[in-house]
Amino acid sequence: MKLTKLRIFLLCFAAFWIIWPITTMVMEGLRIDIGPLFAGRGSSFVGRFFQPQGGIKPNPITFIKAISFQNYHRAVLNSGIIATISIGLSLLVGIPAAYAFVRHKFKGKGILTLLILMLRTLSPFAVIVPFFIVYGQLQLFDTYIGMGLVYLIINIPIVTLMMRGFFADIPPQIYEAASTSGASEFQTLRRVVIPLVIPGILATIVFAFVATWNEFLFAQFLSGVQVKPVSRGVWSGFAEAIESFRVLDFDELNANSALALVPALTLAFLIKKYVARGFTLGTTR
Amino acid sequence: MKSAYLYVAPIVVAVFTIGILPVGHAFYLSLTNLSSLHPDPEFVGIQNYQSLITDPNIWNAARVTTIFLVGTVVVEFLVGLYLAVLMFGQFRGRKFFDNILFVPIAISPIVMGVLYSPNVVLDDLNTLLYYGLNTGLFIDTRLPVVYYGMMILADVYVWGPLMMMIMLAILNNIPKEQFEAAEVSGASSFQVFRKITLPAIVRSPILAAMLTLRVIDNFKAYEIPFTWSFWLGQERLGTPIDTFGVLMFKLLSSPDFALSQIAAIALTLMVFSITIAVLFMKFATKSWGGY
Repeated sequence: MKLTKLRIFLLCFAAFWIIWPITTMVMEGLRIDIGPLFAGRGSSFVGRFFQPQGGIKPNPITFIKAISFQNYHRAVLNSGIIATISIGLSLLVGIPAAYAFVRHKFKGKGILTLLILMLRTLSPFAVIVPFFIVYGQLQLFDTYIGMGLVYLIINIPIVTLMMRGFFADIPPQIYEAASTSGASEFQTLRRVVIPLVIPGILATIVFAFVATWNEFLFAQFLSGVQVKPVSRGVWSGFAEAIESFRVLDFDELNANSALALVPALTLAFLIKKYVARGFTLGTTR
Repeated sequence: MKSAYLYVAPIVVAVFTIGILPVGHAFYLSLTNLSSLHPDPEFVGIQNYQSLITDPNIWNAARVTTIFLVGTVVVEFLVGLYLAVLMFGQFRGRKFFDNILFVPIAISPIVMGVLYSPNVVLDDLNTLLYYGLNTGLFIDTRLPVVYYGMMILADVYVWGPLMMMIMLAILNNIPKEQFEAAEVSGASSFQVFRKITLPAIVRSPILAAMLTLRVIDNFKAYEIPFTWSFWLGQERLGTPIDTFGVLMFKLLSSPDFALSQIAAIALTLMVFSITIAVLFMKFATKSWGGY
């Protein structure tokens, strides 16, 4: 197709549609607001300090507040630890299962696939009440282990179904060559198959990490002040306090959103090629 | 085969512990009257399920969820198709637009809601309209068209480009000869779209699988409407943005803490999600090459 003038215009419009809200978010986070230019200058107090609000001069106070006063780094660390526990466990159970799905026929395969899919389609509200009660009894509420376990609901389907696609991509001749040379199945798996799917495993890890990083509901109800992850901090602040509904002002909300967005975006760009696979649960190749 | 069971044993245990067991527990709780008024639950039978039918908040949530669900899935399909046609083929600067359109994909649903809530995209626009251009007009966030439109737009912002990625993957699998033959026989670009592009996309099982996933995800949507709850009566039940998700969110955050009621709602909705999972599997097995 030719690149007509109309097409260039439409492409630029689409690009503008994508860029505009993000730029606005960052600008609002920097307290750039054109409102006061027209409607009179507003002001607010942050602590004891007078803050002129609005205008076109960037003011990084909200970013500084989120990072230094509100423990953004602690939230990042929490998210990282939770994701590591959860993704590690999912890889341990998911990779052998994905391999079996591709290479073996066994009774109950359809049921198991359906069950894994149902984890993906399950409304978090269906399980959050039991988790809430059981975690209270087992003292897992507001712990890394507890959060890591609950995120298995998200990560097990991602890992199993994504890895299944990567295993299916390996030509069957490779398996045959390994078995005719006398290697046992376990040896084949360890020496031949796993090295071939290492890029796939890395892509899966990053994808699962972004999904865990972005999840909001479990974070909102099953974490307390100790292990508050980033996704929850976006809404109620990174500070170590419990709130259920919003208490932040808009500038803080926007600055926090921008801070939560940057790491997720960077990681997603690393696995750009594989993202469609992740979202379609391994159906796109 | 025996070894196959060895491979799947861990995942069976895991799915049982984090999936089946909690759902069973939730089902038991839904038959009791557990709440902050009754900390020691008593068995009340199907009373919680019966009260769902007469609860106006549930019917309100059903209406809102339907609007949100149908709106997002239809608009996402159309936007995805539009972007895919726009981006298909080779041209200079394609990589640039490709990267730009990839940006929204990593955005978390809660940030998505923040991006499209009135204080971000509407704030400057309204200032410009009302004060800057002195038109006396502004976009009123209390209008249903505006809040439904903005919530749908927020979801389309992330999933529209993703639909585009999937559709482009489908289009790239069409043999090039088809397009060349169409060009030789003098077909207009609209004819190419109607005879080659559209059928390939619509018939693809991958797209069908993706759309079923969108249906299930937006059926349980809560983040985007939740960010709007601040604007339209935040802790009140039955506001015009209460999807099932937001309704349950508000019930969970309320002092009544009616856990059994929430379990009953969630399990009723689960029947729907199981149907969708079965549908997804039907489409996905084609591209997985058998389950």
